Amino acid sequence: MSKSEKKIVLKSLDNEAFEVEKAVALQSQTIWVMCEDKCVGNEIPLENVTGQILAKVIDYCKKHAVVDGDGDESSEELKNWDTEFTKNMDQSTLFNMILAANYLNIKSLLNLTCQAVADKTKTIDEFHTFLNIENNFTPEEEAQICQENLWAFDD
Amino acid sequence: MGFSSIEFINYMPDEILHHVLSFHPIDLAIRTSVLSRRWRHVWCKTPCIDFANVFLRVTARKINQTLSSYRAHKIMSLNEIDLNVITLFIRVQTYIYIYIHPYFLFLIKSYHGRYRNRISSLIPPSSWCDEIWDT
Repeated sequence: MSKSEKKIVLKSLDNEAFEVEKAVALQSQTIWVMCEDKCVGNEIPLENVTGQILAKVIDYCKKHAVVDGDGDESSEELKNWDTEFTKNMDQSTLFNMILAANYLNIKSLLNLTCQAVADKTKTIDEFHTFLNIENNFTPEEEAQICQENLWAFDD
Repeated sequence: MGFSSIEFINYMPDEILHHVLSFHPIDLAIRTSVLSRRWRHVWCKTPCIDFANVFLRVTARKINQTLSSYRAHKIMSLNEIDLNVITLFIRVQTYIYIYIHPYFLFLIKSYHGRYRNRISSLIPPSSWCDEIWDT
């Protein structure tokens, strides 16, 4: 009985079920509130997250729950793990992770993933390429915007 | 149900874009205003402004100019500049703390005037109290 109470089932948008320790899942403020409200049973439907993304989110939460729990791993190791975690993520996975972290309200994961996007967009050119942004200003409009904060455009 | 990167900008709420920009120095954040129409005013409401690494080529007048187009309702942290002699650290959360070297005082006075309603307390760092607040 007590054992089953410690577990919780998270169900993704595409109906994939993940059984996880409650302590792992409760790093999500959204899930925490759902459990607190007792508006859900042992199974929590997450309508905005696919199984593929949810699996990664759970990996992250497991890692961070373990470290918080027994303190075996140094913060240095955890930092390295975080770096590796986002390092090879393709762009679409990264964006979906951001949306999932936002929806699930996991602050540290949101920070980590937004930081990863920031790391890949260190120049305006990188913004254009990494985020696929098309410039839809006329040259005149662009020049006018530059004038507003000219110092920021000086190199 | 993933979405392709081309749709990224349509799906991301402004708060997320602000979050990404908060990891960038202020000059890069400002330059995102020419990315596209969608990005035109995004930087203005980013709740963090970081002048630190542009400090050597920015003057108080320029900071002032930038703050005049800045419209965030809640400023979580406005930069940290620490170059031994000049430190400007403004942090706004429940309270607003303004730590300021005399060099920036005139700047903050005008900032304070404009944002009076949002500023509930002015707390200089203790080591500077005599130096600044007696003037």
